Amino acid sequence: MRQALQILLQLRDEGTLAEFAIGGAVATSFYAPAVSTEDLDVFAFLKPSASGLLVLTPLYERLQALGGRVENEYVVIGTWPVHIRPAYTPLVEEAVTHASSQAFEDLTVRVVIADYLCAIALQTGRPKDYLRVQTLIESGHVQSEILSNLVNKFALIQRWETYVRRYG
Amino acid sequence: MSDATVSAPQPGCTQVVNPAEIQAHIEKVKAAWRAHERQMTWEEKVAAIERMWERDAQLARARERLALTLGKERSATK
Repeated sequence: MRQALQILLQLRDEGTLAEFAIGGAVATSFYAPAVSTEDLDVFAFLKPSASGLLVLTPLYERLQALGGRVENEYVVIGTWPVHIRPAYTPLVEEAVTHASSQAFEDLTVRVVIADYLCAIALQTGRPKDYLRVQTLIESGHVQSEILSNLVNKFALIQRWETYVRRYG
Repeated sequence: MSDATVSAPQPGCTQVVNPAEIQAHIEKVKAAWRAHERQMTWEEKVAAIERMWERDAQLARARERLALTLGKERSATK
């Protein structure tokens, strides 16, 4: 994992990635017990091209030049399949902006905070995402005031009610 | 949770365990594990995720072997 994080940090320092934050199960595992996952989810702000469009090609080319191997939607760096997702919704954009810096070995990476991980899981809305909400809440890292603001702001009330019906 | 029914002690079985003792032991072990997990660093948890990959791969290989064996047995009985 260190190798993947190091290359992502290099991409950010070079400017290929404007900013990124770790999300998904690996971020959840920062706050809660380890969650089984096959990939490292990375939410990223991409550098716009000259035409103003956000394109993944320069990023993938640079990753391959640094030893990454493209497999379907992943770039495998070292042993980790990395799924780079452009910050694709206002919620994810805000999650990247509000991510907190955390140490992984000798590196410092930004990790989506637990409240935003909950909100993103609600927005995604698969059964495993509702389970993730519960795991995060049980971890004690979710602040009710922040989560309720996110639920209201991003119109997640129905998803929250579904979660409460299943796990409440 | 298992839905297995517990039958009466078998003939010759003289010792009977108190279910409450088993319950207390399980709760103690679970609490100890939760406390252990809370103390794990992020790096340790990531290492645990990586170990899950090997376990999952072993399970997949075992399932493939079992499917092959069952397939051969079915072919032999036809």
